[in-house]
Amino acid sequence: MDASSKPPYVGFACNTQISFLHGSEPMRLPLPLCPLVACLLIASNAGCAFDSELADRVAADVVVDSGAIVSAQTDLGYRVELSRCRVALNTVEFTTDGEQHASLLGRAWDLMVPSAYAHPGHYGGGEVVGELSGRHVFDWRDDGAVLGQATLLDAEYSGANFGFTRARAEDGLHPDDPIIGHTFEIAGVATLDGERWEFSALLDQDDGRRVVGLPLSLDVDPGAGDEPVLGLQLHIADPFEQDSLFDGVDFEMLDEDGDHIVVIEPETEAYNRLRRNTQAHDHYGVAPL
Amino acid sequence: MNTQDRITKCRRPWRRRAQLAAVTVGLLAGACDAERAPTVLRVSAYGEAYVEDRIPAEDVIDGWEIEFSEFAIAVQGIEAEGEVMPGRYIVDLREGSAGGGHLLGELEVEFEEHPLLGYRVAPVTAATAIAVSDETAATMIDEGLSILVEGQARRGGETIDFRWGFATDTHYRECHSTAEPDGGEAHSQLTIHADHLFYDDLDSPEPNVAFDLIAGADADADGEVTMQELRAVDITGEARYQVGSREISDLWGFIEAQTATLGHIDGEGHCDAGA
Repeated sequence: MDASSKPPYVGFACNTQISFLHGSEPMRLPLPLCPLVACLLIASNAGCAFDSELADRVAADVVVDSGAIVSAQTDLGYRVELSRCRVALNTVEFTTDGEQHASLLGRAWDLMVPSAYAHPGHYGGGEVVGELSGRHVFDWRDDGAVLGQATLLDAEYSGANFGFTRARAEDGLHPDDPIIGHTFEIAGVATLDGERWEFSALLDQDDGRRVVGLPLSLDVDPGAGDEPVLGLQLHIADPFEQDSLFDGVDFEMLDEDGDHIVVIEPETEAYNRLRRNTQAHDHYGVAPL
Repeated sequence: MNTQDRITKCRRPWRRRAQLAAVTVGLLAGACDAERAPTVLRVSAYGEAYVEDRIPAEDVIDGWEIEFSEFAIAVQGIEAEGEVMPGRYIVDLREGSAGGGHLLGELEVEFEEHPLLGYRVAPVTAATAIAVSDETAATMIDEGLSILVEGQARRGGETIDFRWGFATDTHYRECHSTAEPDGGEAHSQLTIHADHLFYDDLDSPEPNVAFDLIAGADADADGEVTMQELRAVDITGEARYQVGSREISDLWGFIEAQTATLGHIDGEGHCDAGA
């Protein structure tokens, strides 16, 4: 059969070996079934087109927002200020809280795999209807640095999610960069009663561990010609409950040799507390700028 | 002609080809519906060998073997494809069922390939008792419990007993059953994953089943770990027992949160779980 002389989906259905449907044994569809498959595929395509028409979208720059990287007081009374706060994240998702049309759009996008929108769909914390894909290694103090361009469907956004990863040289890092293999590289100064400690930590999160439910309030209207800019924030001090990222870390206790330099090492309670605190969505936010 | 008209008209002349349509569904992703036929769906509850027999030491990262003597749950709000089974049940999954689970009831439903089910594990004020002692059923009703587990963990010469009641209310929705109609009948199983009670992470896709931290909670060294003792264990400094954004800082709260992950469908099928 000459595929080029047929409608495109008939050619595909009848001449393509569909090996994934039959294990390692490629399956060739019998000719009498071709009209059926063609019909179904045409209908499927029509369905996709129908859904795509609904999927009005806008592009939004996502940038680093350092506005919440501030001097903060911990529950133990230390005043902490960061001089470095590098992190390795992967895909940032933007969510709505389950509007019907958003749900339909999420399903529509599921059909578009492997497009840039491979993962929209239902996820704890809301319906995912937008995303900034890819890996991102950045310093949260680098205000305004562009992380990339997110694609957002026409929806009222109420939250965001992201995943942690481990930095790699392929992320554009020097092979000797200390963050390689880690999720956070944090350094700063803690002060208490006139004493001062310089501290640092390399934190590891499980690759793919997600932070779900970052607050976001954004109404995207593609028809309005808006080009929103979204700032990804880390809150050293939780704006809701006032706890800090460094709560429970006793820098003086960690300074065993009294040199006022503290390295927060893995398998210590301080490390575990800091790692746990960085998993809580209260310490993050997305702000329309 | 709108899209739905096109889909409908393409389907009808080819009903006999429904099986092929099912095979190609991965490509078509919802383009054409299969036929919906009335089916009597039997629904059972099963705790797997982990409940009916034990959680073997090789499945527990720190080498404890865990055996339940009771694993009672209160189930209500069972529904499939919008059809609701009106009953409320308390069933002890520890009672042997030879792998078949305990039959709760049946529903007449229409579905395409596989039904979507939902159910709640929640406290009840009255219930049909299935394979459960009157005493246990009464305790669950009187104390407002949805789950009551009793058992023993053993490692070497050590033993730790536990008897914990939970009042959590978890609604499992959109459970993707693998039930298939066969002669007008089908079977779905509400599968309870007891090992999740001992998971050491609330978010990781690959948590460990662990018991060391629980065993260490036995502050009075009487060989039994109680709710109060678990509440006294601060997990915020633990390397494992991660909780994400949840406001959980003690071991009882952690295990209580895990109770919302127990419910599955037909073995490993997943549900959306929430209050």
